[in-house]
Amino acid sequence: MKDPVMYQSVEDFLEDDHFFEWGMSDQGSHNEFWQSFQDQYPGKVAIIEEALLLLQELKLEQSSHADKASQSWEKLQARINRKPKKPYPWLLAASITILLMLSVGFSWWMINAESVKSGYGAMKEVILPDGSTVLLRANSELSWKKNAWKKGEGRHVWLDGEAYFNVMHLSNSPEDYFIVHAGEMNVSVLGTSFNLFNRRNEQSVFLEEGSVQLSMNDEAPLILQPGEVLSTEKGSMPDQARKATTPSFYTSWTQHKWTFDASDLSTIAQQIKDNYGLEVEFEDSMIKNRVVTGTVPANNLDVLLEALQVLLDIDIVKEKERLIFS
Amino acid sequence: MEATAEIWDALRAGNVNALEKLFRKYFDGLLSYAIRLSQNEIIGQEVVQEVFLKLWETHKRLPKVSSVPAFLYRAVRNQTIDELRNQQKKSARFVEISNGTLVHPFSIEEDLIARETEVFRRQQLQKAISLLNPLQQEIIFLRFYNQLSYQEIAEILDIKYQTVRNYMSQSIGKLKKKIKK
Repeated sequence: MKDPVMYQSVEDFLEDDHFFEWGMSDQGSHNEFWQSFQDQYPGKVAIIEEALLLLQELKLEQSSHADKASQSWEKLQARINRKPKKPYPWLLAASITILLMLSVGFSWWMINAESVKSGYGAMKEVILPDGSTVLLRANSELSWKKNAWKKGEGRHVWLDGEAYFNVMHLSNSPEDYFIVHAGEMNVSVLGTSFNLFNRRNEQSVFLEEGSVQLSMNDEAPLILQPGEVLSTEKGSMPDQARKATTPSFYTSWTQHKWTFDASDLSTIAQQIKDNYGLEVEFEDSMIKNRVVTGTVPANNLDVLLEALQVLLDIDIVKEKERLIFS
Repeated sequence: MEATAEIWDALRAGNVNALEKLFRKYFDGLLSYAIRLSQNEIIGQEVVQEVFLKLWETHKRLPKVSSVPAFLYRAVRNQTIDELRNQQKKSARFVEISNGTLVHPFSIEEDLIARETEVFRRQQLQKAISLLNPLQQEIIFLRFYNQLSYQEIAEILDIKYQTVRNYMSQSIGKLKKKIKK
């Protein structure tokens, strides 16, 4: 506390810790002192009121995030517990036992596994035990466990390639999540439509409607909003999804059309290889860098190649297992 | 209510309940601070998580501190700057790849200034605050929103105690004029 004579201005009051505590507590703490101060020095009342007003104004606009504390704490706890603990020698024996059990489990899984594979240049529709449908793009494989589709047991499928999912909604319980394992990425779903790409350790998820949760390794999960797309890069996930500029880029293949959105020819060549198993060669390497935007019919390879020739103004020659662009 | 210093000692001894107590006590203020600095709630959330994760992982090496909140706010500040730098590196890499030429992004400090002056525009007072320099604004924020002492603010911002006091005097003087008009 300073000598009362020292309190000359608003600044003097606001910078005083004792006064500050009184004001911040809505005149709760130290109230007696400051009331009697005002009685004693009526000349300072106006300044005190001004100081209090400024303090109140400054206190406003504080948006509270206290409601998020519990959720965030649970997330932190999960992250703490996920940290691997150092193995101890006595754990070795236990580890071996677990490994043995795992390999037994693995063979059990092999026996119970069901899978559908689409060939080059062909789509395949799969209806899963829960009524969900999956349209497999060419050269893709979907697998699942035969006897694990009862309500409350969780629904797990594995995708290698590309597919459009239409997932049946069972309940809002986490046990009824539909989980797609795509390489290192897990996509958790309640009921929704989305496109998932998983080739060469690259994943890309485009959400058409509903909501999906993506997780990878130990990274924090990310929730996708309809119209958003997320692509991974070398086994790591970006922090944020982005709005898809051309949604049909991810879904038009289900209608036998290919959409390009500023795609360069080497990307298109990779798509042809993924879907038709044909290598593409460029006679002039400059062609590779050309960029195309547009939609072409892709009912079959001949139609696609015809369309590409027109769109790009190039010649495409088919030779055994490869295509030559010139 | 247990004293914060005791909770801190319990954390240093590896008590996870102590971590939770600190988390719940300071979460709101620290998150507000991180969001204010980064202007992004997702980054803010991540920063607070990272700070407490590190706190737990390094609990054996944590020093004795004179003020726990000062330590936490400072950690949040440093982590936010790191996080923004990382994001900047990512986007810089992207700019480089897509254009072939590197567009020089703002420095982190300049960026913080730009972000901070964008805040508090709604009311007259908020306008006045936005005219203060970023350090003055940050001091106002820490003092009036987070109720930290001058000594703690000096520790968080790594500036002299007297500098904090001077800045505060100047700021209040300017704000006072605005509110009178």
